[in-house]
Amino acid sequence: MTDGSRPGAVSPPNPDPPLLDVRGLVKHYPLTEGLWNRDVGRVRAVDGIDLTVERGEAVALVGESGCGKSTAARAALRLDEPTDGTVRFDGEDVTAYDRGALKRFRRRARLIFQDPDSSFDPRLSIGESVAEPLSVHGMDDRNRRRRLVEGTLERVGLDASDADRFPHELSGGEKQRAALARALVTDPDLLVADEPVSALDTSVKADILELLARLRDELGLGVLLITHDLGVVAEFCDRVAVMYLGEIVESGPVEAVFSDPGHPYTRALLGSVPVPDPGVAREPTGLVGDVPDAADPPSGCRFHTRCPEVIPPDEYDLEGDVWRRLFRFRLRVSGESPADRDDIVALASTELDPAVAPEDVEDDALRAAVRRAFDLPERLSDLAAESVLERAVGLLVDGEQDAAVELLESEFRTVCESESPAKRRTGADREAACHLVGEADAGADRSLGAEPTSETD
Amino acid sequence: MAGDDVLSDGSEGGRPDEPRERFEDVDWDAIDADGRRLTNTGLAAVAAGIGYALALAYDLAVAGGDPTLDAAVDVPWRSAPATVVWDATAVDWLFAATLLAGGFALVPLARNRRLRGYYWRRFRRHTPAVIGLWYLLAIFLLGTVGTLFIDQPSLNLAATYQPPIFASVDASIPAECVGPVVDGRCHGTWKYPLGTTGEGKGLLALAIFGMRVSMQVGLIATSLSIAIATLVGTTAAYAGGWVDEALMRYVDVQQTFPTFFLFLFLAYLYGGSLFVLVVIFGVTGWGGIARIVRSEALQRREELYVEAARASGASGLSIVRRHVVPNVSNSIVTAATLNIPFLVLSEAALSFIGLGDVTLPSWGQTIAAGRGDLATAWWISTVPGLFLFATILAFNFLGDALRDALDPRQEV
Repeated sequence: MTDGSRPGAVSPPNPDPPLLDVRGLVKHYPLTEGLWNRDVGRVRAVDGIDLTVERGEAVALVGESGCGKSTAARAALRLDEPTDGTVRFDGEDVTAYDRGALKRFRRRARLIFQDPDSSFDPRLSIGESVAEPLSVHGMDDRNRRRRLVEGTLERVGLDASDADRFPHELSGGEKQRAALARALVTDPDLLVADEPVSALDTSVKADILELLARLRDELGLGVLLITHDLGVVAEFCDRVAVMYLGEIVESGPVEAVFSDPGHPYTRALLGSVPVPDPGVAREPTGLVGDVPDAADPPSGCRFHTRCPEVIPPDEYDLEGDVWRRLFRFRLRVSGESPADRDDIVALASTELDPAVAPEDVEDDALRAAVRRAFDLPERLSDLAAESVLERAVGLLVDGEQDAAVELLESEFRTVCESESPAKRRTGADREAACHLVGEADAGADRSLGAEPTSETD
Repeated sequence: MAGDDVLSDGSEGGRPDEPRERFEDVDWDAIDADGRRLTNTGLAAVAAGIGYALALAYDLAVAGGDPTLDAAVDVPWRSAPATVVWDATAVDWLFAATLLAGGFALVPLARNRRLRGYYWRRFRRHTPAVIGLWYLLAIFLLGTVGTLFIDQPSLNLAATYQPPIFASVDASIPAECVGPVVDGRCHGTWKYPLGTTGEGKGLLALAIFGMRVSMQVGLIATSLSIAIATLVGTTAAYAGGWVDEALMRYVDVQQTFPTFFLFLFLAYLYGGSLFVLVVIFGVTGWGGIARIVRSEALQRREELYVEAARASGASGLSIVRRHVVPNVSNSIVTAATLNIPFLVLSEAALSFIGLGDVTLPSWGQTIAAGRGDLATAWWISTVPGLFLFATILAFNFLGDALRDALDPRQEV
């Protein structure tokens, strides 16, 4: 709060504070409605994330589109005012910076963007664009700016004479190099790269990454790389933080996390990385659907609606796969807009005998069709679960969807939806937030009975 | 390009005595401590502003009712030195301010040789617009500089209704024929190349003074409009929220306001003066341009280069000045070049119906003066009419060509 005095007493093992230390960062966007901007809720784009970047370290923030990665980076740099949380840069509280300090911070923490095409002003030459941060920060000497810009352009692999060219005369890769030059020209300590190579061809991508890695070594640059490309992460980064719907679900050293992912979401992401060998046998990742709406995130573990490893309730003895299908059935039924019998018939129509007219379908046949349509087995091995499912399908077929939803929601419950998993250490410098993960013992115990009744803290 | 790289590397490395400064070596604390300095352009702008203020103060306080400028200039082709007598009017002062501001607005373009070349190459493809540009430059120079060296035409009963050179008219029409009379027809002379009016005023001189009026009306009122429109449009777009709402609703109100009747009202109260006309049209005619600027600026605001500038620590004002305004300038310039002919035409129309400044020889006034004599002296209305027509046409060509040339997104 006061100023950037060293918290030496607080963290004795590491006298040097991390370059960037984000604690409990929150960014909510209010949703307003109507003439008087009535508050009707908030989009929880970033909902309490922790992140550190050490000097010279490359940290990846990964996740699907729309999970809040970019928002988190922008909030950490105070390009958007964070709703809550602290950001320490080199030991100083960024959220407490005044205008002048924030401007100096902008010089030391730089940002590059995904799209090199629109990140240059079409009316300025590359040299003018690269020199802009210099003049913004008070370097009035035109010739000096020019010298620095030319030197920087050469160091990112461009020609000094490119300073006189216009953005539309450069290729995407050249523009991204120029963008890197613009970021580096103020000699930053931290570089936040928001999908820096996603818009580029594969070969150009490799060149840019190589350049980035070289400059990072040369300059001792801390890099926060935001990407959805796990290949880039494996190649370039030291540590990784996996983000899902505004929260970090797992973090740790890249090698450790990628070789033994602790969180089902990380496993799913890794499973979806394309392998250039069609012969490689792969298990289906089970990651279906889109990231849910951040304005109304799922309760408990936010990933539970899509989790391929969602935990079954204790009272039933079900195989993991069967339970998952059952749970997906529950989610789909409650997610479905109000449906009467005709809708159900339409829904299950692919499983019905086409010879029978829709209005003549027998209830028994429809019940079986519904089960097939939702990929449910004909009979569940657990009798109690079977009787619940049978009643629910019956209600559904009778057109009483609300009752079916109520029944399913009261019977087929999971700890994943009722409780938020706490973050647990899963190894050296590793953390994951999942009910399946035991303390400091990653993945060793994925059986269900061992799941402790964890409190939220 | 690889070859160039090697070459330049070699030449750089060949000078070990002066290593190039690298970005790591910059002492930012020293730069922070140094504070800001004005750029050369900034200094020149300040100097020009002070000079303008001093001259204005001199005209108001010292010169008063006397001519502001009364000097003899040696002109090589004349035996006696020409006297330059110029009592700067309020409109002249506005005009000077407009030209100064316009000049400084063009500095970034003038400095950037490559961008200038690029625009010029694209502009040059429109031949009518190029011709129009030269025509307008000629009109502009004649109207501003030329009028300083010629006398305002005055009543001369000995030279009424003289036909233009190479034309002739029945000798009974002019009171006295200045040129030769052949076969009962009075022929034009070089003394009055475009003929004279019924009051014996030379039409060439009238047309040249008319150029000044037209340029002043078009340029001053349009610059006023552009300045206000840019300010309002970018502010609305950049600030957003209630500021945007308030400004744009005001524009809606202003757009419904009948400028013409306001001018009629003021002309009735105070007499029609060019100053009032220019100010009224300038201060009320910016609504449409402001809307265009706002909608363009809204798009520009979302561009990544604006975001990049913000991430570099640039303030909102400097982003608007450096990125938003230049990138909406094509819309502004196009709107302006299409606004000028409207104003020139409006002034001519108001003068024609006798609501203009009766002391000023504007084209509209001359056309009105000659309309009773169309049957006998066709040239009186025709000559200024042709100038008016050509000027409007040239501005329209110019506007179209500029719109094409200034849009960098249309690649060749």
